[in-house]
Amino acid sequence: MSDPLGAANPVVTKFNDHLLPTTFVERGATVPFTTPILAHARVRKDWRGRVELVIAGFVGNAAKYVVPWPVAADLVSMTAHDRLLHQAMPANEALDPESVRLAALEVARTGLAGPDVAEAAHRALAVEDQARTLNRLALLVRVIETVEQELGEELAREIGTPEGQARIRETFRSLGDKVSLDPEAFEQRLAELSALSYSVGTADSPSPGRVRRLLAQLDEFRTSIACWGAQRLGVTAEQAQHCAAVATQTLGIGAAVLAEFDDIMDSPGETVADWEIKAQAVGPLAQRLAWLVDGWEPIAAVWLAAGSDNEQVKALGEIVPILPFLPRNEARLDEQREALMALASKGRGWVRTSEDWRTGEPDPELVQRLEMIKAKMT
Amino acid sequence: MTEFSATDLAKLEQLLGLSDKLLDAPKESFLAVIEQLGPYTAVPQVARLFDKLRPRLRELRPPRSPSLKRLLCRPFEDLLTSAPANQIDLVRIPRSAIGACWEFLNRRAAGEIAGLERRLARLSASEPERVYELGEALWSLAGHLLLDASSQKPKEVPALIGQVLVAAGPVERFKREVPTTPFAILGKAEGACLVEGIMGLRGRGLPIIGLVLAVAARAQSPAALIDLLRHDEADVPPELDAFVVSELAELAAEFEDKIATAGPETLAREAETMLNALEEVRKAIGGALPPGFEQRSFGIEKTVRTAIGTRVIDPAPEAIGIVLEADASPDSLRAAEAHARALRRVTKTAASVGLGDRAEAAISEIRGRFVACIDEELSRPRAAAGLRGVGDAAYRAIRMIELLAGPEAARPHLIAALGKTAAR
Repeated sequence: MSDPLGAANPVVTKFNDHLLPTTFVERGATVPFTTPILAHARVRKDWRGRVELVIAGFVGNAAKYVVPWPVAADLVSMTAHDRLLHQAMPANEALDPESVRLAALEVARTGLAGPDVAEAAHRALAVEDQARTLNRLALLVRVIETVEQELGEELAREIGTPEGQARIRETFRSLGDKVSLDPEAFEQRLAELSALSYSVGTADSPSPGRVRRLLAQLDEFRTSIACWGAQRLGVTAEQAQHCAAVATQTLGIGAAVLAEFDDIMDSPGETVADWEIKAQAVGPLAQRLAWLVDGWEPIAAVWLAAGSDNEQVKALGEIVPILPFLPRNEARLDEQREALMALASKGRGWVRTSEDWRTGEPDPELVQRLEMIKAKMT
Repeated sequence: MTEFSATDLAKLEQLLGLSDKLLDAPKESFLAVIEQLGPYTAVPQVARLFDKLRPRLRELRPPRSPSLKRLLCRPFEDLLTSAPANQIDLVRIPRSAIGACWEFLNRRAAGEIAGLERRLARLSASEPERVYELGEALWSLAGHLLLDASSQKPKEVPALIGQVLVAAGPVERFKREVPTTPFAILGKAEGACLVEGIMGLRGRGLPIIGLVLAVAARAQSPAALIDLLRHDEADVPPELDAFVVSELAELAAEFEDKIATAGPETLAREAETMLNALEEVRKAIGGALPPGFEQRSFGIEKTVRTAIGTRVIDPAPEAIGIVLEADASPDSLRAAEAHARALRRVTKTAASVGLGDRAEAAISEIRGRFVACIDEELSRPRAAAGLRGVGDAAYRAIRMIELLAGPEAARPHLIAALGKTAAR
């Protein structure tokens, strides 16, 4: 069998690598718009700190179209949901995937993208709260385990119940001088650590953090599309292998960053003791992971929801033009960088047939499809 | 690939006990096991094991092992129909005919078929190039045998199977070039691929009808193919005209069946498709329309008119108005949204069957109620800061205006609401 997961380097072709963004921040964070032409647009700041929108496939080719953020609302006929999101976003100064996502969830809750999207947003925000609590408790359990292993393991099993959660807090406070700081100050530090890390969560959590879940989903996507592509011929086979290769590259870097993250989070006690060094690394690592998975969730959702072979062919056509290539500087090794350039170059070879975006209002059927994808996002 | 002996297969009963472990196994190991067992799904124990593994198979979608019979059908799969054989014209292939053809081939070319079966058993689905090469040998062999047989026993062996199989190369090439079905339009390169296939078949003295119909069956508008072929100065086989008319009749029958049960969105979409198809057939075939066509098309228009009038336009005000109720359930909101989308979509179709005014009046009446609701909501004092400063009812009404009349119609109301969220 050939290399279905696309791990091997693809053919290296000439490509102007300056066309790829150098960093995640330069690539921008995806904004979950429902207007088809803006569906996979990214928001970022320019070198003078002004917010701008990067629109893919705006004129029906592989080019990216960059417009100042305030102009975007006049440039295309936006859905009411997007107009509100457009208005809500600049107030939100940070333009990383997490803050864009939270702003989008707030807007989705209004119901302007329909009841399913509103429900999904309510659910996602509730899960977010729960993840925050569980992660904090998981860290407390880890510390308890270092002092009293058996008790810690017992408490870990009860982490999902209100009684268990009360017991964990109580046990932690009773640790007294068995921990390096006084329990109250210790708990405060753990709370700060939890706030930085809950989106990824601990490796053994019964409810993994969202970013960790998305990495697992990306892995599932990669396996599924690679297997599918391996049994086909022609352009669809090439495109499927291309998607798998881009996913493989992202997952490769993701695994390394996640290992580093887990290593620090494995012993929260040591992290609190070495606060200035270790704890300060947690936030950037979690954020890097969030950037890595940014843009992949709708891709995996579209692919994994496609039930028949024909739907998969159509899904592939949607996915290929919006694959989130890694920025140049995120590929750590030279060979990774070389593979990245080759993949990006290949992606430019398949250009969608131009859509007639100039005729005015967004196609209601496409909008509805985007809303359905949005309702599946977490 | 490791092969299992018959004795090994008998022992597979024990594998059933491993299904739970396989469901939890790492995906690489799971896929490796599936690849090994794939060629043996005809063995009952393996089939039962696969049934138990179905949830994970659905999730990971490993390649399916091809069977020779399935491979035989690949070029003509889009032309297959489940309609009873006595209702089928010469432009479709009844599924029930496959068994007879397969038996015929096994009688007439037992040795070759057995040889191909053996070769195929050694291949896995992840070797598509080699499977395709084997398919070419099968299609060529079967195509010529079935063409001969159909000229002698046309009732038992439909001619179209042989006609498609002898054209299998160009059919499969076209499918690779245009993998989406139904395809909406053919670009220059894709159109050229079809014309090239036709020329190639002609050059070899083979019938072109199999290729033309296999492609037409994948088209959103088979009538558009007639234009394309005329434009490229390739002759249009009369069977294509028959196929186009038969497709339209099938579409009309399906539409009639759906009127009582389908939701408003489906009806609106299909009514539009129906009338577009009718128009395209008229344009493409023109003077060569079969007798009685105009009368049938009048019947189709009448059916569409009744369907959209009674199922989409008339019930809309009540179905959509439910959104204005404060305690509307999510399900009723979904139903109202579906109705609003349908009503907007149907306006053009309604105009072409004389219901334009009725549709416009319904939209205008409902829209007026939502505008009044927004005005009332925005006149109230702010309940909270930011986005929550506007009540859910106002957002819902804006959403419904958008669904009924488009984003530009909703825009002024949203701007008014945004003004309120910004007001301190």
